[in-house]
This record gives sequence, C-alpha cells and structure tokens, in this order.
Amino acid sequence: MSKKKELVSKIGLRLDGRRADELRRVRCKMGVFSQPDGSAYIEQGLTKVLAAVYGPHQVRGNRSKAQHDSAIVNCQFSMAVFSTSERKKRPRGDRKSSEMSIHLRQALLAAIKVELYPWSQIDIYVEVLHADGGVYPACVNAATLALIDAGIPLKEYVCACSASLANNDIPMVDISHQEEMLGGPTLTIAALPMSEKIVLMEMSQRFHIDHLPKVMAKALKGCKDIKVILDEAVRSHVEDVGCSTGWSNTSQKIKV
Amino acid sequence: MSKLRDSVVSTCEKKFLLNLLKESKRLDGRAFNEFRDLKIEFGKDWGSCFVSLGETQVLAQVSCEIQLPKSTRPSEGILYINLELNPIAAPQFEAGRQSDLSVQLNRILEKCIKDSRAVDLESLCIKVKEKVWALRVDLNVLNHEGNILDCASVAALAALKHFRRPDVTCDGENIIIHTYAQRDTIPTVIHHYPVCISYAIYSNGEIILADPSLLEENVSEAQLMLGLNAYKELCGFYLGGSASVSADVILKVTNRAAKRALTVIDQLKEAVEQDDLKRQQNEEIGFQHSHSFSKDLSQNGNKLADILNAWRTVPTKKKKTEVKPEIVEQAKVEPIGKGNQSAVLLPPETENSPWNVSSDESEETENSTTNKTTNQNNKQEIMEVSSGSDSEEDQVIVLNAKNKMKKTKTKTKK
Repeated sequence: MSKKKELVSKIGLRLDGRRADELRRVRCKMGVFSQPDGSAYIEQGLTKVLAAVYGPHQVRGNRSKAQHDSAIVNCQFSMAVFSTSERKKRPRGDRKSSEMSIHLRQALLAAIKVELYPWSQIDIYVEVLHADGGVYPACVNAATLALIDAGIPLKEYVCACSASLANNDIPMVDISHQEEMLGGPTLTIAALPMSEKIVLMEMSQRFHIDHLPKVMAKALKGCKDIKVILDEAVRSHVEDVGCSTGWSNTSQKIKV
Repeated sequence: MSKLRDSVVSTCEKKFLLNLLKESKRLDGRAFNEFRDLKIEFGKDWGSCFVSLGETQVLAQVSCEIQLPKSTRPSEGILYINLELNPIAAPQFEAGRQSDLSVQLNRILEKCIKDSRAVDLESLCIKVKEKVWALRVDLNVLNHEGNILDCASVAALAALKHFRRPDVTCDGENIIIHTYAQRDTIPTVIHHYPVCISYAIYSNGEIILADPSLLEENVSEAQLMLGLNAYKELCGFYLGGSASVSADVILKVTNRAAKRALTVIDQLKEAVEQDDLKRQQNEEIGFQHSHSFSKDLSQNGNKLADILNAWRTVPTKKKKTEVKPEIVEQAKVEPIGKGNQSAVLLPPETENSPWNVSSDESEETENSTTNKTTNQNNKQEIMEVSSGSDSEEDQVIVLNAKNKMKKTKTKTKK
C-alpha cells in the first residue's frame, strides 16, 4: 500500500500542497433555496454540502412528541449516491447515516435556543454532494449557516473541524479523504469557538493518549478559524439582503 | 431535548440525584471515579461469554462462517459485531426497531474493535479472494442498569479471546474443515484489547461520574465514552450531549480511564485463562455452575423470607379468632390499644416516633399491618363482607358505620 507516502513532506507540505495548520479553502453561500426557511451551501476544499432548515413550525407526524418547554430538533443526514468515488446506493436508514444524523443533532442542540419555541419542531436536512474528507465538519458548518439564515436564535456559532497526526508527530488540521485513508486517526471536534466549549468529539482508529492534547488543540484552533470565515460570510450576506430591501430605516451600513 | 433515550425520569428522582451530587455523594454510595464489580463467565461453547457490570448484564456469542471476502480487502477475514437491545433488557426497548441508542452503541463498538484492528483479520484468510472466515459477535443485553457499552465491549473481547475456530486444510481444490475431534481448534489472534469506559457529565463538565447507573445516565447532561487499550492508545472516543466540556477536563478523564482499562484487561485475560485451565482439567464448565445465575436468586429468596416473616398478616376468613403468637414474638411488637373496632400493632418506638398513633385512630400506613382482634362485632362485620369470595387474596375494606373516622383494611398476602 502507499503507506510510504508521507503525509507531511520534509519541507512541511501536505499531499495537496497545504501546510500542516492550514485549512482548505472555504466557500459558502446562504439563502440558496426559496422553499426552506433557511438554507446554505458550503464548500470545504472539494467537499460540498447543502443544508436546509424548516422551522420552527408545528410538530408534524407524531403529536405526542411535542414538548411543553422546548422545540424538537429533527436532523436528517444523507449522502448523494454520486458523492463518493464509487456510486453507492445508500439506504436512508443505514447505520452510518443514522449515526451522523444523531451526532449532528447533538452538536446543534447545544447552540439552538430551543426553550424559545415550545410545542414546535425545527427540521434540519443536510445533503452531501461531494465527499472528500471532513464530511461531518462541513455538515455542521453548513447547518449552522442554514440556521442563521432561517433566523433561529443561536447561543453561538457551532463550528466543527477535523485534525489528525502525521508521521506520528505533526498534527494536521482539516483532513481530506486521501489523508484519512492513508494516514492515521482522525479526531473530529464540534465546538462553540468563542466560549471554547466542546460539544461533540469523536475519533476513528487509534492513537496514543499522549498525542491527544496537541491534536485536540489543533482541532479547536481550526474551529475558531472556521468561525471567523463563517461570520464574515454571514455579515456579507446580511449586507446583500439588507441593501436590496433598502435597510428599512437604518442609515448606517453594517461594518464588518 | 438532548436525550437519546425514551425512558422517563421523574422530576423528584432527578432533583434528588442532582442534590446528592452537589454533596459529592452517589446514590449507591460509590466514589465519583469508582466502578461497579465486573464479573466474567464463560459457557460450555467456545466463544460464549456472560459479563455483568453491577446489575447490567450482557451475553456474547461468537460464531464463524466461511464467506467471500470483501472486494476491497481480498486477503482479510470479516468481523461482524452486532449489539441488540431487546425488551428483555429494559421496557423502553422495542423488539426489532433500531433505536438511536442501539445505533450509537453499535457504531462505537464497531469503531473501537473493528476500526482499530484489534482482531487480526489476515489470519482468518483461507484462500485469497475466494474464501475467508467471517467471525460474528452477537451481543445481547440481558439487563440494562446503566453503562451497557462497557459491559458489551468486555463481553465482545472476552468472547473473541475465548472463541476457537475449526482448523482447515486446503489441498489445491478442496478445502476441508476439520471437526473438533479431528484437529485442535485455533484461537483468534487479538493484537490489543480496546475496552470501553464510560462517564456521565453534569453541570457543564464540573461533575464527572464513572460507570453511571441507569438513573445517573438518564439524568446526565452529556456522556463521555472512551475506548482504550493496555498500551494507553485511544481506540474510540465519543463525547456528546448538551453539556459543553473544556479540553483539560477531557484530558484528565482520559488519563484516569487509561488506568482503569489496564485493570479490566488484566481481569479479562485472567478469566479466559481460568476457564482454559478448567477445561484442561476436565472440570465442570458452563453457565449452570456460574455464580451470577445461582447466587442472586438465593439471596433474593432469603431477603423475601425475612420481610415476610416480619410482616405477615392473618387471613380474614378462618383464623380470625387467633392471633398467631409467632408473629408477635418475631416482630416484637405490642398492641397499643384494643378499642371496640380494632387494634393497631406498632413497633415499640419512643414516644417521639412519627409513626405513633393514639389508640383512637386506626388509620394505617402501607407498612403497618393490622391484626384482627377478638372482638365479636368486628368479626361479624368482616364475615359479612368477605363471605362473597373464597379467595384469601381479596382486599377487604370495612368501613365502620359507627365511627365515621375509622377505616380498617385487611390485606392477605401470600
């Protein structure tokens, strides 16, 4: 196998030319759909994810699930059949999709102010168009943007990032698919960057606990960097939307 | 609502638990980082293992089959791990339906044991691209008293270590599987033992409990599940819930968990060796000789007998006139007053006891019992009421017409 390929070369460049602590290029757009209350599209490197949010609305289906003190959050994760290198028909209820949906829900529940909408439901749908590593982080980031676009109050941005260890020594951030396959363990963290609280953390494969602190720190820093990017995107979107509606009464332009 | 479980926890239970935690106490008296007793037993078949962690019980069974290998990995065997949550374990589990918790636990076990390559799959290959051994670990949760994951991971690993597959020989075209009688069976090659260790998190990361019981799990804000092996390598990690935890707390917990993992793995290896020894010395093996199945029941029987002896009542129909002398002696109780209607027997407490009642009242709590007096009036009233039924288990409520305040209840217990 090509395990001989070093994930970080001697001059410090990775397989795709990045440095160890560089994120992939992030491009995002909000308000891409007209039907959902909020939607967003995010590209992290080659990974492309769409997210749509409906809500808060009346509880559909099982009325008995409605809660008197908070909204229900319903997440659905799905990968398009063309998203991976081999066309794979993914049945909706399979374990990996269910697991991703559960993890997404947990990460977002930590930030959504559900106590403001009793007896209602918020639906979040995430669709992966192209999976090139870092699928879960991209989904969380897309869902955050979609929630902001829908106007649902959040305590904070929820940002997620993955990190790994190269050559058993150098921590890298934002793992692509190739690095995931070749290399070692991947640590994915979803956090609230400003309060530095970790909401969800999961790991694949194995590595020594002595390496855990630096990989965790790297991933948290990655979350903070992503937050800055997402924040910028949100502000420019608000500017665009605001300009087109004449800013109501404000005469001041929002400063970024 | 961040709860993945459908079980309902009453508010008073929740508050009680949280208040106890503030006083640094746990319901069952354990320390915050203390684990429950872990017992590992093996059955007659190879690969059959029963693990109990406190009251949580998981049964594991390993079986093997020859299959086509995966196209992406033609020289490796296959390992399936399947954890089932059936209603036998807890009433909120539904048969057949894969709940959120089941998905989560299965995925963590998969990641921990399969993705970390704990079992050597290449040794399971018989013929490249054509035939490989497929090992299947079926885990059944028998009782859910919190922390299924720890119990299940130990059960799966113990069962895999205990399991022996038949020997095969390949002579060009044919593959011959030898029976246990013909050739010795081959144990599974396991590189390392990734055991899972779970913690429950409260108050945004301030209080962390090891090995949560069912109630503690249901009340917790977040759960932390770690998979660690003997070499201090993290094989699986999951932190989720509605509490946000800071990084240094996680690191501290991980270090503590590493120590626990070592003890568990040692216990596991020892248990397998013990069972091996027993088999070699042709001693009796199997679940019927295990302590878990026989000891608990007899303990329960003793407890029940004690309770019944202390609080046995006289059946209403036939033996109304006599008060069984043994009961009075055993319980060392004295009748306080014999009024016209009834007598109340209370334990000889001090005058300040809250349960003291004056002889006027015959109002009962659930714990106290009434004995019938020799009063004729009472007898007649009771006889009228209970003549209708033959069963001594009927609850007979006699409302005294003469005194509005008084009520007597008769309960016969069998």
